[in-house]
Amino acid sequence: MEIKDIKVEIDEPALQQEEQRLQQEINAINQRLQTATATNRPQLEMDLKLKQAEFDGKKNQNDYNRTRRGTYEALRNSIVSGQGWSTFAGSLAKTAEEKKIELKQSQKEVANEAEVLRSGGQEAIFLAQKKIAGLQGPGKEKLLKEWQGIQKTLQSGGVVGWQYAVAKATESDRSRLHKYRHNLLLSEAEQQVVWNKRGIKTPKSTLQELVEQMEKSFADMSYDEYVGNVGDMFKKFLERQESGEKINDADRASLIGLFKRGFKDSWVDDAIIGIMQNPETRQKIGRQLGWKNADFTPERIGQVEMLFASGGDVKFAERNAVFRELTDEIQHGKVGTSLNIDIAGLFEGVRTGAFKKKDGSLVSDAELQNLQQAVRAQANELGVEFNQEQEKLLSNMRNKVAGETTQIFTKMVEDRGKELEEYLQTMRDNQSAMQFFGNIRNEAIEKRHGENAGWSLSRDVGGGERMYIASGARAAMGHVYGDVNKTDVRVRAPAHSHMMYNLGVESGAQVLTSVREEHNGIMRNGIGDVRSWSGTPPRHVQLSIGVAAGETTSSYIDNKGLFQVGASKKVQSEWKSKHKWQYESAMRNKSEADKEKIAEALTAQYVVRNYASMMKQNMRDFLLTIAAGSGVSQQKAVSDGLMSLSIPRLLSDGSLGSPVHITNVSQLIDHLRKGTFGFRESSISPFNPTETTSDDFGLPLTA
Amino acid sequence: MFSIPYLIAQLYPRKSQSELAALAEQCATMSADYDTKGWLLVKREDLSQATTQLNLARTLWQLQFAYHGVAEEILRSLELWSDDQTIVFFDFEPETQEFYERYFAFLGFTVIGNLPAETIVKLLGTRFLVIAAAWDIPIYDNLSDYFARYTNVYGLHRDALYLAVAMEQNRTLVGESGKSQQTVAQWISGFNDFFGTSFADKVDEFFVDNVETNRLGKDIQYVLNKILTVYYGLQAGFIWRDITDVVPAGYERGEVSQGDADEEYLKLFAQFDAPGVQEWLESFRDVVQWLWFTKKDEVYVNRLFYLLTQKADLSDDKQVEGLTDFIETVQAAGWSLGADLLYFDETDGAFHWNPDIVQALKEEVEYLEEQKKFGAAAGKAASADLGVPPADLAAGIKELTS
Repeated sequence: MEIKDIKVEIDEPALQQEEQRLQQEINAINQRLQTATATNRPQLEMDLKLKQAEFDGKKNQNDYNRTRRGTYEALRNSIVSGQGWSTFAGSLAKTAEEKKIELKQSQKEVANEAEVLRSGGQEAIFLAQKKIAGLQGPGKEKLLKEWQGIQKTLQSGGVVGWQYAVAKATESDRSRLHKYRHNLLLSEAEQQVVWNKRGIKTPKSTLQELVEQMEKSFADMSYDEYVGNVGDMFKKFLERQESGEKINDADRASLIGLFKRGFKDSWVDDAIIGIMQNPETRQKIGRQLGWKNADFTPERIGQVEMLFASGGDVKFAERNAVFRELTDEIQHGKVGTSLNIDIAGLFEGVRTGAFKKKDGSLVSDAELQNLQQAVRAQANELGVEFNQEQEKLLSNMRNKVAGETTQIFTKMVEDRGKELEEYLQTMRDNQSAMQFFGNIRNEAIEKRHGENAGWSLSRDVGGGERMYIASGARAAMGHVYGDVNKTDVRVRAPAHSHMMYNLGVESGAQVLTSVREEHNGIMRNGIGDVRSWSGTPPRHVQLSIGVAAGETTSSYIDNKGLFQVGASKKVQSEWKSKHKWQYESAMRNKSEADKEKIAEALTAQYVVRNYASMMKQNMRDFLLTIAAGSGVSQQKAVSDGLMSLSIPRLLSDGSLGSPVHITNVSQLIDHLRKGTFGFRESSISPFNPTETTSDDFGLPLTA
Repeated sequence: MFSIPYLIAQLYPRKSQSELAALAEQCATMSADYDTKGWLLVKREDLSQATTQLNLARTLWQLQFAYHGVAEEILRSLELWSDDQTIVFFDFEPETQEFYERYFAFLGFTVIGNLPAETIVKLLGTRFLVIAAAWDIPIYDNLSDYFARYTNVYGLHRDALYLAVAMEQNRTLVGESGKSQQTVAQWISGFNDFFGTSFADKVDEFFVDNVETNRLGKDIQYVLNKILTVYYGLQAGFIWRDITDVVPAGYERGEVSQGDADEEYLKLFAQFDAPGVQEWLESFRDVVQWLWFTKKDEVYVNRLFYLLTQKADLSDDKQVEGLTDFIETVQAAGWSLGADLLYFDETDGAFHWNPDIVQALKEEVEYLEEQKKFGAAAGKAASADLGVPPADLAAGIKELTS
C-alpha cells in the first residue's frame, strides 16, 4: 500500500442517517411525554434517558472517527509532500491531540455504557453482546471475562443481574474512582484510607475481603436456612476432611461468612442446634465432642467457633479440648498458675519431655499430676467428658515414671509432641480464620452476646512464634468480661441472658439451667433501682423467674396473686431430661395427681437454686426481676423486699409438703438457710431495706 | 432512643390519650419480647391480636438496645403474609393495617444497618422511606451502620450506589397537593440536575432560591432534606467514607488516622518492584485519566515522576516504551513536564533520566517531606500549605521541564 493511500474509511451519509434516526426517536419520546400519565411517565423518562445516551454515544463515536480521518489525511498529505519518514514514524503514534480526544472519548463511552447498563433491559444485554464481540484476541481476556460476567447476570434477569449491572455502570459516575477496578494501586490507596480512618490494622491476607463477599451472599438466609446450612456445610467439610482434601481460603471464607451471618443476628448458639439436627454431623461432631443435647453453654460456643475456624476438623477439636484446657489452667486455674509455667514452657515440655517453669526449674511429677486433675475437674465443671483418646493425651502430660524404660518414655514424648505439632499446624494453616475469631470482642459486647468472643487469642507458643491459638473458657471469658466490666449499666442491663446463664433447649424453648455466678455478678452489677433495671429484656425475666423463654409469666400467677414456682411444663421437661432418674424414682408408685405435684416440687428446687445464685450476686436486681415477673410492685420489692411466690415442697421422706408462700425476701433467705427446698444456702446476706428514688419505669414520655 | 409510650403513640394513631397510656403501661409491664424461635411460632392470624401487637412493640423497643436476628424474621414474615408482599393486608381492620404499615417502617429503619441489601432496597425504594423520614428516625446514621460492617472499598462503593439507585426509583409522592408535589424519584432527579457551589453542601443549597422547594412547608422541606441527605450520602460516598474509629468483627485494631488517598497512592507506588512498575505503566492511560479528572496539581505529578525515576528500569525496553507513552500522554493532558526528562543518548545507545530535572524533582520532594515533618512536630494543621514548594523551586522545575 502506498503512503498516499492511507485513509480512514468513513461512510458519512450512513453515520448521519443513523444519527438522524436516533434523534427522531428521541423527539417521538419527548412528544409522548407531553401527554404522559403518572403511570407511564417514569417509564418514558427512562426510555428517553436511554435513547439520549445511545444517541450521545453514537455521536461521540462518529465524531471521533471523523477526527481520526482528518488527522490521518493530514499525515498522509505531509508525507506525500515530502516531509520525510521521521515525521511519519513519530506521528504513527497517536498525536497528543488525538490522545486527548481519546481520553475524553473513553470517559464518555463509559458514561454512556453506564446509562445503558443501568436500565438492565434488552439494550443492556445488546451492549454486552456488542462488547464481547469486540473483545476477542490476546490481551483482552480480563475485560472479556468481565463483560461475559455482566452479560450472564443481565440475562439471568433477576435482581442480582440488575444489581451487578448498576454497580458496574455507576462506576463511571465517580471520576475519583474512575476505572479503579483496573487500577489496583488506586483502589489499594482508597482501601488504605478506609482502614486508617476506621483504626483497622492492615490485614495480612485477603481473607477478610472474601469473608465480606460470602457474608453478603448469605445475607438473605432465614433462621431456618441458617440452622440447616450449618449442618449441611459441616457435613460437606467433614467429608472433605475425611477424603484428605485441602481446605483453601475460599472455603475458610465461606465458613466464616456463614458464621458471621449467625453472629450478626445472634444465632451463634443455634449453630449447636444445626449440628445436632443433622444426623451425620450429630454423629460425627456432636458425639465426638461429647454433646448429648443442643444446650447452650459458652464452652460449646468455643467448640463451635473452632470448628468454623478449622473447616470442621474433628480431630483438631478433640485435641483442642485437652490442649486448651491445659493452657487455660496454667494461665487461670488455681493449681495451674501455682506451677509458674507459661504456654511456651508447657509446649516445650510436651515436645521435649522436660516441663520447665519460668524460673528454669523442672515441674515435679506431683505437680503435673495435680495439673491433670485440675484440668479434669475444670472440664467436668464445663460439662466436657473426655473420651479415651483425650484422656490418653492428658495422662501423657507427665515426666518419666519409675520403672519406665527410656525407650518407652521417649516414644511417648514423641507421640504427644507429634499430636501437639499437628494441633498447632492446623491453627497455623488456619491462622487468618483464627485471627478473625480473636477479634470479635467489641461487636460481641455490642450485641450483648459477649460469650461469642475470646475463643482465639494471640499467644507466644515458643520458638519465637506468636500466633492466635484456641483459648479455654476462663481465658475467653476473662478477655470479654474484663471489658464488659468497664461498661455502663445501660449497656449491661439489656444484655441477653446468654451472657450470664447457661440454657437448655430440650423443651423446644430456652430454659435457664444454671447461673454463671461470676458473669451474672458482672452483668448485673450496679442495677439497683427501677431506672437502672429498665432495659432488662422480658425474656431475661422469664428465664430468671423460672418459666421458658416466650412463656407468659402472668399465666403462672394464681388467684391469690402468688407466682407458682416450678409450674412451667417446659421447665419441668428440661429438668426431667437432665435428672431423669431422680424424677422417675420420686414419682414411682404415686398417683397421677401426686406425680404432677412432685414434678413441680422437684423443678422448683432447681429454680430456687438459681434464685440463690442470683441473690448472692445482686439482691436488688433479683428482687426487681422477680417482681416484674410476678406482678409485684418493683418499688416495694426493692424498698421492702416484697415478693409473692408459692414454692412447692418435697419433703426428705419423698412425700409432698404444703407449698411455702413467700411474701418477703427475708422469708426466702430463712428457708434457704434451713434447707427447705432440698439444699442449704447460708452465704446470702440478710436483706437490707432501702429507699429508692425512682418512681416511674424509666421510660420518658417523649422520644 | 424512642420510649415505649412514644412508640405506642406512633403505632396506634387512632387511639385516645387514655387508651394509649393503658397500652403503654401494658407493653412496659406485661408484654414479652420475641426471640427468633418465639417469633417463628406466631401465625398470620395472630397478627390481629392485641398481645401480638404489644409483644411486637416491646420487641421493637428492646431492639433499640442491641440488634437481634428476630428483626429480620419479623420483617420477612410481614412481607410474606401481606398481599403481594406490599405490607398491605386487605382483610385486616384499618387500625390493624395501619399498625403493621407503621411497624414495618419503624422496625425496618431502626435496624436498617443490620439488614441485607435486598431488604434495604425495599425500604429505601418505597413509601416506608417517607414514613421514616417524617417520624424523624435517624435514617442516615442507622444506614451508615450497614457500611460500618464492611471495609472492602469496592463493596462499599458498589453497595452505596446500588442503594442510591433504589432511591432513584422511589415513586412515593412528597410535597403538598396543589403546591409542589413530586415523587421521591423526581425530587432526586431535580437534585441531580442541580449544581451547587459546594460539593459538601449541595443538599442544603438545593433548598436555597429553589422555586419548587420554597413552595413546600417547613416540615415537608425537612422530610425532603432528610431523604436527599441520605441519597447524596450514598451517591457521593460520604456515608461510608466518613466512618471513623469503627473496627468490624474479625479485624485487628490499629491506630486511627486521617487518610489521604493521594498520599497513600504515592506511598504504595514507592513500594513497587520492577514488575509492579511495568504493570503500572501498562495502565498508563488510566493513570493519566485519573490525574486529569481529579485535577492533580503540578506538584503532585512531579512527586509521582520523581518516584518513577527512582523505580523504573531503563535497561528494560518494555519499561522505556511504557515510559515514553506515559510522558507523552501526561504532556498531552496538559502538564508541562518536558520530554527531556527521559532522553536517548546516542553515545551509549541507551535511555537516561535528565539528571538536572531529577535533581530538581528530588529537592522538591525533600522540601515537602521537611515541611511535613515540621508541620507534624509543630502540631499544626499546616495541610493547606503542604504540597506547595517555594515559588523559586517550582519555577525552576517548570523551566527545566518546559
